[in-house]
Formats: sequence, structure tokens, C-alpha cells
Amino acid sequence: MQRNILALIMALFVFCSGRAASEEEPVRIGVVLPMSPPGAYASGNPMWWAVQQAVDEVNARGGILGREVEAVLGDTRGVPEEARAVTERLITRDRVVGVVGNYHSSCALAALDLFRDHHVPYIAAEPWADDVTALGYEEVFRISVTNSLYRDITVDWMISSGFESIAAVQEITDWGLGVNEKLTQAWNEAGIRNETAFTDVKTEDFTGTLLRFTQWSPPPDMLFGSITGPGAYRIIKQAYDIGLAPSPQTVFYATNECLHPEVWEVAGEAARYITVTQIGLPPFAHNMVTRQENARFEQEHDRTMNATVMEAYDSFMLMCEAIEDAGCAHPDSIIRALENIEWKGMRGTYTFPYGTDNPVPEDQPDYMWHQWPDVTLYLFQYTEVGQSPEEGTVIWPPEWSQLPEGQYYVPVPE
Amino acid sequence: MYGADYLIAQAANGLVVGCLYALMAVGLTLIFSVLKVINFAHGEFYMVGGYTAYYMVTVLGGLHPLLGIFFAMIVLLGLGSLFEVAFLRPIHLGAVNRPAEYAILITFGLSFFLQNLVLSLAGPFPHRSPSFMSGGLTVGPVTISADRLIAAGLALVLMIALMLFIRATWTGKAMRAVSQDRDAAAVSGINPFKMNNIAFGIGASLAGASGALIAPIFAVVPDVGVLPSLRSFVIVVLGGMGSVKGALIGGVAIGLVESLGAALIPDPSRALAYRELYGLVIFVLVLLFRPQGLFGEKQ
Repeated sequence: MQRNILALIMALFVFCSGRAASEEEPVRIGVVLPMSPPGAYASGNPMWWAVQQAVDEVNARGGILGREVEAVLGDTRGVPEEARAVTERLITRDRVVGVVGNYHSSCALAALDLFRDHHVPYIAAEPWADDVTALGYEEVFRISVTNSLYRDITVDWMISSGFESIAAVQEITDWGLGVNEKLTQAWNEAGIRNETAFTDVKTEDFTGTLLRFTQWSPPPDMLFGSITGPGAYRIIKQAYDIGLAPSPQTVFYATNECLHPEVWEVAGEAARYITVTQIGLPPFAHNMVTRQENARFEQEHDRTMNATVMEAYDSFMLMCEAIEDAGCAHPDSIIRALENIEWKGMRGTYTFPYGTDNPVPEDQPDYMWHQWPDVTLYLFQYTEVGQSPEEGTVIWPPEWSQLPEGQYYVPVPE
Repeated sequence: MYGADYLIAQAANGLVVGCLYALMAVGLTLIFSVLKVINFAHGEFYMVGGYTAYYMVTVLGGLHPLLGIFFAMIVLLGLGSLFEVAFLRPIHLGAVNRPAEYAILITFGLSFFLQNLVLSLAGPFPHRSPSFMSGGLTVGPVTISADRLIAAGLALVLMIALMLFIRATWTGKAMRAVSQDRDAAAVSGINPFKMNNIAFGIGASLAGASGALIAPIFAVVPDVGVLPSLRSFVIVVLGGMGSVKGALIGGVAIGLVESLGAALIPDPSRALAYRELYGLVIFVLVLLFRPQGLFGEKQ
């Protein structure tokens, strides 16, 4: 009898200690980013730093559901097959309750059906391809811009600026080809003469193609250097060295890779007057959260957060908020919470108006499914060497423009 | 239709870039000719050279960028020699069962190791060394930046110096002897292990010099060596495996073909995209009609 009582006590102890252990187990959220070559690791790494900042803050205020939060990193290397493999690993081995991140559209698209099949909520941080949300998966949300939204805003600026000819150098990636298809269609519809030279993202020397564009008479009104990675800086320097752009005749439009301060180290004087897109709010529209988090990030990493880095921070915090709102880590509850969320992050107040209870209306594009509708972007120009994006001159849209009415860019002095 | 000025400008650009390609390929072919090992970490030696020059010039502020090249060569000479002793010597000592596979795996391993090590130490962002000299040179229709001209000129000087070293010095002749017949060279009193070490060190050093020369032009990132390394393999086979002269001429030829290809292909949307393809077409043609390469010897 005594032996039986002892066994019962021990069984209860084991059960209780097991329960306690499971209660204390952290809430795991998967983070998929390109952290090493050949992907855009110069963007992936600071995005990961921002996620770590978010983890520290959430845990400092007591975690979520009374448990610690843990970000489990999956390095996609920017390769779609690897993105799929690490996503599967996060879901099946690490048992994450949700996933955030991705920089490359191709990586997000390659793993999209895994979220659907395993019923795991996913917030896309930076992928722009329309299909990420246009496929209408219940589990997939996006806080970044889409290729179509990007086209609509930037082409409006190009038309307003009166550009009649555009020379473009476009990287051959899912993102590049997707953007190019939409842009060339819009340029053709607007009657803008355009020519695109496709290139591998690792190309070092663009001089041959740029020399080709110098043969245009008159010179192109705009050079569109749509390259990510270090090529984004190289093309600026090479175009400048041969006198093509930025020049009094030709505006240089660069990718948001040029939000990193390294643009000055690599391109130097050549980057003065380039036009860059920032996916987010201009500095004068920043809220308290933006300023506070940016200051903390700058203190730790000696650089401010650019749009993609803010997206990483916000997507992680948004997932945490949704889990907290849901009151548990069940996928259905988290998805429901995300559909009803209204949370203020670094880039504005996030909502996802089109979802299960409110399908995308016919007059809205398919990609509006689980898409943050208030995502904004603005265009600015660096006007002094060494400026930060926040110090640049906002040139578009007109409601934020810092230029006199009717002026759409700062011309390079003769 | 493009004018002669345009073609001259494109050819000049191809010539300058080709000299840089050639310098890297020369190091690769030297290693192959003496050690009979294909060095898959050659691109990473190039990358480490670029970073070494960058840090030497920026951290040791005030150091002229040209001195950065010298330091990069010394560091890579040491790194290459150490690697050869530690990991490649067992091949020639007969301590490895499958030497060909071992050499591929160990150099591939070094390549991944160096890429990730530099990513952790130097960070993910690109760095560019200060210019050798600001401004550029304009001759008729051709404008070339001073950095490119200096880099191409130094690459030529280094390649000519290497050829003189191989032809005129005892060590150079001993390296050639080992590349032709290891056993016969050993019987003649040449230490083949020492020649292996010198050849690998010099090969790595030339890759480092090449990386240091491009640091002010293209900037360096941890994976900057991937594409140049692939291109070097094409150049080496094109010029003839083990031929230094072949690598020099092959490099310049690939530079010209890439540049003129991108300039003349009528469809501008594909002209730059197929840039690497132009060299590969030449490569395939040479393999078909002259498998030993332009200056290689028939086996």
C-alpha cells in the first residue's frame, strides 16, 4: 500500500513538473531571411538584428501568454529551394507557431504552399510579388508593398516629371522580372520610349551596356538601375564615371538598396542626386514608435533602420500581438486575430480589412487579400554627399513633396 | 548602327577588364600546372585580398591604396602556403586514398569557410577601398577612370614579372620542371614539396592582388569572388591548362568578347544578360576544335 502511494505521488510529481516545463516552454516564431550568399544578405542581416530587438522588448515586458518569445532563424540564402527547406524545418522540427520574414519574392513563393498545407500563419515582410497574397491563402498576410502598387506610384511620378525616354538595367530575378513586366507595360501605355537591359544580379561591370545608352540622342531622361546587392552601388558609380547619370540630362533612379549608408562608401559623389524609394513614411510623418525603435537600433548598430528593416521588426511584433490577442497559439485563433488586428507599428497602424469575413471586392485587385492596404512609399533624392535617407529631399508623392509645386525632382546642376 | 568611336570605347573597356581577369586566372593556372590541383577557393583568395587591402588602407589610415595591394599579396602568400602545407601536402605524400576527390572537397570546403568567416568578421555590407587616383583619362572617344587604368597596368606588370620569374630564375625553372615531371625533377635534386608550396603561395598571392586591384573599382563583399572564379576556370581552359601565357591571352580575349558582345548583340534586353555566355561559347568552340586550349600541350 505504501509503495502504491509513493508511486502515485511520484507520478503526480512527474506530471506536474512536465506541465510546468511545457508552460514555460517559449513561444517559437520562425524568421526566414537571406543571411548568407548568394542572397541579399546585406539586407537580411539588419532585418534579423531588428527581429532580435523586437524579441528583447517583448521578453522584457513579460513575453506573450506569460511565456518567453523565441525567434528561430532560417537562413534562406536567397535560394528558393533552400527557403522551402528551412521553412519546412521551422514548421515540422522547430514547431514554430507562426513565421515572418523573407526578402526575396522567389523564396516566399517557393514556400507559400507549406504555410497552407501545415496551416501555419505567415506574415511576409518584404516580398513584393503580387502572387504572395493574390493566391488568397488563409494563412498568408503581407505588410510590404506589391509590384503593382510600386508601379502605380512610381510611374505616376515619372509621367508627372515629363520623362519621354527611359533606359533601364534590370536584374534577372523573380522580383526584377515581375517589376519590369509591370513597368514596361505602364511606360508603353504612357508613350514613354523605353529599353531594358537584363542582367545577372552578380554582374560587376555594367559599363558596356551603359556605354550603349550613351549613344541615345537625345540622352535618356531617366536611367533606371534596378539591381539589388552591391551591383546597385556599382552601376551608379559606373554610370557617373562615363557621364551618363546622374547628370543634368538624365535622372538616376536607384533601388532601395541605396538606403544603406554604404552607398556613399562605394559610389561616393556619384550617388548625389540619385532618386530612391523608401517603403514607409517620410521622417516628418514618423510616429513615436518609429523614433523610439530607430534610436535604439542606431545606438546598437550605428545605423538607422531603413524600410526593409522596419518591416522585419513590425512583422515580428505583429505576430506577437496577434498571438497575445488570440490568447493561445492555435493557428486558427492567430489568423482570426490577425484579420481583426489594429496595431500601431513603426510604419503605421496595421490592419488587414480583406479576409475570411470580408472577401476582396470585385473592384479591388486580388493581391489585396490579407494585404495591409495603407502601405506607403515615397521617393526622395540625396542632395548632399553622406546624407542619410531621412535627410534626403522628399520628391513624391505631391502631398509629402518638399519641392516647390510643379517641380518633381532636384536637377543636377550644369 | 554604332560608330567606330563607340566600338573603340567598348574594346578599351574590355581590354582593361580583361587584364584583371587574366591576373586572377594566371594564379589559378600556376597552381594547377605545378600541383595538378584545381583550386576551388581561388575566388575566396581574391575576396580576402580585396578585404585585406581595404582594411590595410582604411584601418591603418594614411596608407596609400597601392601599398594595400602589397599587403594583400603578402597575406595571401602566407595563407596559401599555410593551406598547402596543412591540407594539400598529404595528397603528394600519398597519405590520401582518393586524391582528386580530396582536393576538390578540401578546396571547396576552404571556399565556404572563408566566405562565411569573412561574412561574420567583416559584416554583410560592401566596402570599397579609396581610389588609387581620382579622375580619368580621355583619349579621343575613350574615357577610362584612373582606377581602372592603374589596376590594368599593375595587373600587366605582375603577370610579366611572373613570366620572367618562371623563365629566368632557378626557382621558376624548378617549378616548371615539377610541372612537367615530378619524379624526374626530384631525381635532379629539386624538392617538389617546396615547389608546390611556392606555386600555391604565389597563385594565392596573385588572386589576392587581383582582389586588391578591384577593391576600389567594384567594391568587395563576401561572395565577390564567385563569378570571377568561374570566369577564371573558363580562361584557364581556354588558354590551355597550366599555361601562364595562355591565361594572360585568354583573360584579355574573354574581356574583349564579353565587352564587345554586350555592345553589339542587337537585342539590348539580352546583350548584358548573356555576357557570361559569350565567353562560354568561345570556350566550347576551343574545346571542340582545340581541346588542349590555345597554348596547352596535348596529353
